[in-house]
Amino acid sequence: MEKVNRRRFLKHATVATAGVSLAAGCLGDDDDNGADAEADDEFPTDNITIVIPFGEGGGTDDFARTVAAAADDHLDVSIQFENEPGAGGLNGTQDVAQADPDGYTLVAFNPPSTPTAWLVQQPAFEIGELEGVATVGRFPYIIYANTDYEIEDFGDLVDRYDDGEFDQIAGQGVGTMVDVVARALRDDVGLSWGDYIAYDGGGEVTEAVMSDEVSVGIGTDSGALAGAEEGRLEPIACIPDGGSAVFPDLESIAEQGYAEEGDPIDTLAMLQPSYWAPSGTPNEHIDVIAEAFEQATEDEGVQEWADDTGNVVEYSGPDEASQLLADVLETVPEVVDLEAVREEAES
Amino acid sequence: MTLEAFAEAITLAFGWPTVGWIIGGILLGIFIGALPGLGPSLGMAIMLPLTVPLDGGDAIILLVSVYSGAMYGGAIAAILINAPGTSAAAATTFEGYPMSRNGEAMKALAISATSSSIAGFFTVITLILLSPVLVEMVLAFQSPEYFLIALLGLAMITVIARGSMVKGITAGMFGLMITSIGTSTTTVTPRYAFEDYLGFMLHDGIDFVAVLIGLFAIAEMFKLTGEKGGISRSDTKISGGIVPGIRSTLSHPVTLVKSGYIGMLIGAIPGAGSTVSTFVAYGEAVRASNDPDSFKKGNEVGLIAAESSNNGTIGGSLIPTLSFGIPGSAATAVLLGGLVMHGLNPGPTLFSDELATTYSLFIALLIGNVLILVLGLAFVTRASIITKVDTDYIVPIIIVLALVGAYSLRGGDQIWLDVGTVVALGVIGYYMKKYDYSIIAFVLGVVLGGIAEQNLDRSLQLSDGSWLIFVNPLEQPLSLILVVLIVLLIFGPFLKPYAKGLLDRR
Repeated sequence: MEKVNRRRFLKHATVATAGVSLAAGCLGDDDDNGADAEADDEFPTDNITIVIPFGEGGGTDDFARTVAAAADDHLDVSIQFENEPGAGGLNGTQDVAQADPDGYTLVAFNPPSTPTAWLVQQPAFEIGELEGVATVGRFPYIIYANTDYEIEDFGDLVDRYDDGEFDQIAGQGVGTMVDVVARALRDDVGLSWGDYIAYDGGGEVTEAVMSDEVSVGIGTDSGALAGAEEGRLEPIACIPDGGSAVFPDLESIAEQGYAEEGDPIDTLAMLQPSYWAPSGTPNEHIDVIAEAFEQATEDEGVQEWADDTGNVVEYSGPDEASQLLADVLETVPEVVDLEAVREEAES
Repeated sequence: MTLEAFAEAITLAFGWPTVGWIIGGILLGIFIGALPGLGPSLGMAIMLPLTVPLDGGDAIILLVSVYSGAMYGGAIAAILINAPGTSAAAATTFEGYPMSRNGEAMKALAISATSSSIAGFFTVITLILLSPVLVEMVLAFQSPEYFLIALLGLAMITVIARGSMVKGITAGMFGLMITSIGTSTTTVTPRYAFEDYLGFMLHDGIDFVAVLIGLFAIAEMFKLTGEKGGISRSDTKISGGIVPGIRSTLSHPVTLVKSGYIGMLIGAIPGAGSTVSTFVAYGEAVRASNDPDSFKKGNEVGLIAAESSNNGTIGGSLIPTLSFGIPGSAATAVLLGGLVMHGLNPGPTLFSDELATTYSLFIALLIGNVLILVLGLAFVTRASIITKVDTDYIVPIIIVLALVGAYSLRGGDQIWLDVGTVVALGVIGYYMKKYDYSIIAFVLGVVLGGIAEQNLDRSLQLSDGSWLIFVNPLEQPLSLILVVLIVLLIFGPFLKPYAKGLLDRR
C-alpha cells in the first residue's frame, strides 16, 4: 500500500513538464529509473496488451474487452487482449505485476474479487502495489431463490433459514468473492446458512437454483436475468446499497432493514471493473490511457451495450481506482475471517 | 406467430449481407478449426470485438457460423494428421486417421463433410421443433447426473479399448490421475503444483487440448519418422474418392441418425455434454457393431458416428445457452458474451419477442451445413494430397504447427507448460501405442476426470455424504437410470451368455 500512496503523492506533487525529472530526482536510485527515462518519449508508440486473468466469455472478459475495444479508437495504437486464467485471476495479475512498468501491459480485474483471492491465497507478490488506471463500471451481487418457494423478501428468507427450511446456499467456488460475501451475509447480516455449495461459474449457480438443486444462490444481477424472465428465479435482494440496473425495483438489504448504508458489505458485494498497471508505471503514461478509457465510457456504442446488458458504465480515474484497491485490501480482512476461509477450503 | 417469425427469419437469413457473414464465418471457422490447438472458442473470441459495428442478429449469425465451421474444421486435421483441435474431434481421429494411413483420406474427408452436414441439418430442424421440451430436459440434469454421465463415458473404456483390459484400465487411470493436478473446485489448495518452484504454473492443471495434441499429433509424428513415404502407407494404394465417401455415409442411416441425436441430446447437457457426446456416440457404434475388432483400424461406421454426433452437439449446446444463459462449453460461453453484447439477452424473450432472430440463427446453421457439404466435398477433400507428401516434409511442419497451437492455448507461464505438455505427452503417447496401452482409454480419463470429480464432490456435499443420491428412485429417477446403464455397460458382456443360456433352456 505504501507504493500506492507514493504514486498518489507523486501525482499531486509534480506538475506537467517538471514532473518527470522531479520524480526521478526524488526517487534517487529507485528501480523506477528505466521507466522514467521512457516517459520522455512519445507514448504510446507500440500496441498495448491488456491481460484478462480469466477465461474467454466470462463477465470480466466481456466488460474488459468491450470498454477497451472502444478505448482503442481514442489511441493511435491498438489494444490487444490476452486471456491468462488461473488461481482466481491471480495468475495473470501476477504476471502483469511483474511486467515492465512501461504502460504497455495492463491487467483487467474487478475489485473486490481478485484482491480478495489474493488475501485468501497469499501469493508472493504485492497486489496493492499495482497502479490504478481507471474504473469503468460497477455491477452488484444479488441473492435469488427458486420461484417455487414464493419467498416474499429478505426478511422472509432470513426466517426460513432460521426455521431450518433452508440450510444450503449456492455460489461460485470456495475462497472466491461470492464465498466471502456469503460469509459476511451470515456473520454480519444474520442469514444463517450452514452449507456453501460451490460451483464453477455464475451460470452453473443460476442453473442449480433454477433446477432446485440448491434453493437459494448468490450471483451477479445480469447473470440472473434470464432465469428471472423465465419465471424460475426470484431476485430477493440486491446485496450492496446502490441498487441494480438490471432489476431497478429490487430493494437492497439495507433498504429492507437488514444493514446500514455504508456497511462493509457494500464494498464487498459491488464489483467494479477496472484496469491496472505494474508498480512504477509513469503517471504520464497512465494518464494517457486513462483519458482514452474516459472517452470510451462516453462512446455511444459502449453506452448502448451498457443499456442492453444492464451493466453500469461509469468512469473514475487513476486515483480513485488506487483508492478502491486500498479500501478493499483494508476492509476484507476486517469483515471476514480469512483464516477460516482458508481452513474450510483446505479441509 | 411462430410461422410468421419463421418466415421473417428466412428473409433475414437469406438477405444480404447476412448470407455473406454466414459464408465468411464458415470459411474462417474451418480455417481456424483445421489448425491444431486453435478451436472454436478462440476463433469466436477473436471475432467478438469485431462484431461491435454489426447489427445484433448478424453478429450472432457470424459467431455461430465460426462455431459451426470450426467444429467441422477440427475434423480435417484429425483425419489427415491425427491432430484433434478439440476434445470433440478426438473421437474423429480414432477411425479417420487410420483411414488416411490406408490411403483413404479423401473418402474419410468426404464422409466427414457429408455426415457433419446431414447430422447438423436434421438436428437443427429437430431443435426448432423441440426447443421447449429440451429446456425442461436440461433442468432435469443436476450434479449427480453430471457425475454419472462422466462415469458413463469412463465406462465406455470397457467397450472401446480392445485387447488387454488391464492395460485399458491402467491407461484410463493414468488419464484420471493427470486431471488431479491443479486446484480442485472444492478447495483452494493446489495439488501437485510444486508452487515453490513453479508458482501458479500448475494451479489450473494440465490443459487437455495440449494433452490431445501431444498424444495424437506429436506421438504419430515420432512414429512416422521411422517410416518412408507419406502418411498413407507405401504398401497401400490410394483408393476411395468423394463419391464412395458419400455413398458410405448414406448407406449407414441408422448410425447417422442415432449419433446425430446422441450428440444433440447429450450436447444439450451443460458442462459434461459437449465433451462426452462424441465418445458416447462412438462407443455406441462400437457396441452395436457385429465386428467390434475392426474399429481403430479405419472403420467407416466409427467415423460417421463421431462426425455426425460432433455436429449434432452444436445445436444441442445452444439450448441451455439461449434459454437460460448457461453456457455448456468455452465456445458457447463466448457466444453468450456476444448475445449479451448485442442486447439479445438469453431467456424467454429469445423464444417470444426475439423469436425471429432465434430462428434466423438456426436457419443460418442450416445454410452453414449446406456450405460445409459443398466446400467440404469440393475443396477440403483435395487436402488429402497431404497424406501423399513425403513424411520428411510433413513431420517438421506438423510439429511446428502443433507447438504453435500449444503456445497459443493460454498465456503467461502456462505457455511453456502447454508446450512442455505437448512434447511430454508425445513421448508418452508414442510408447503407449507401441506397447498397446489404449490411447482412447487415456483420453477418456483426461477429458472426463475433472467433470467427474467436481460433480461427485458436489453431489456428496448436497446429500450430506449419502451415496443414495445416485440411486434414489423418487428424488433422482434419472440418476438411477444412468446407474443401471453403467452397470449394464460394464457387466453386460459377462451377463449376456448367462441370459442367453437361460433363454435357450426355456
